[in-house]
Amino acid sequence: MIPRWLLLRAYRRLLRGYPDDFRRRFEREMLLDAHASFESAKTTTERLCLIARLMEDLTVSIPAEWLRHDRIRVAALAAVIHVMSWITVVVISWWQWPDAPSAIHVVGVFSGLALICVACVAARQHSSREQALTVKPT
Amino acid sequence: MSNPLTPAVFHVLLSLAAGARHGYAIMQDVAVHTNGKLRMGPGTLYGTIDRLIAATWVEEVEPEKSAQHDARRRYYALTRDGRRALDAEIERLEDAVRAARALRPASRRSRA
Repeated sequence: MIPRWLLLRAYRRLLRGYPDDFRRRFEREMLLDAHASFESAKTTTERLCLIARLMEDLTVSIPAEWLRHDRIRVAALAAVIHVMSWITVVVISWWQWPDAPSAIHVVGVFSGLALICVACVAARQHSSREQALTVKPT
Repeated sequence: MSNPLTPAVFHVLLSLAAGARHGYAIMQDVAVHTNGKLRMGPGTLYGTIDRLIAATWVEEVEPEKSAQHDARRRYYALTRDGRRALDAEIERLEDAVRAARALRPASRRSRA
């Protein structure tokens, strides 16, 4: 069975994924909570379930916190990744595919649309603080 | 009419309605209130608390010195705005349940 100290050390490392401001405020309490949860999980099955739950929580909450704290930087990173992958596709298709020029136009249009979407996400701000606390009816 | 609260926000407010709590106690309360159907992880919980503090629905408070007091932890309590938001949500849910109960016999009749 994996020792508790190793799990907590790994969890502490993973907490570095949160934005600095959030981590400064809540890291200690999150570690205390994880410690208490590991204490209460007695069997191996309970521990495995707990690890799965913590992983799921990190996977969901880290991007959410980045989007909340630094929306512009996340959007810029997404745009950079997008442009890099577009360049890779263009370079590969240029060498391997005789019909590359027309494909480049198609890829270019879609990339442009995707970048506009990213820019819209970056520009969208919460109109009020309470909006993040409620579900918007569709 | 206000928009419905997210389940995480509603259950955190509900837990704090009984008095000031630290994060782990809120997590346990939520699991008990929902019969284990909703288990909040630390990231989701403190993200929610952070947003609630920003919206001035929850505030950090000095805990009362008692046997269960844990000095290492921060305690959170509802503000007046938070209590008002919780009351509004409870009222909204009561209205929804009332409407659903009123409609249910009719839908049964139409099926028969």
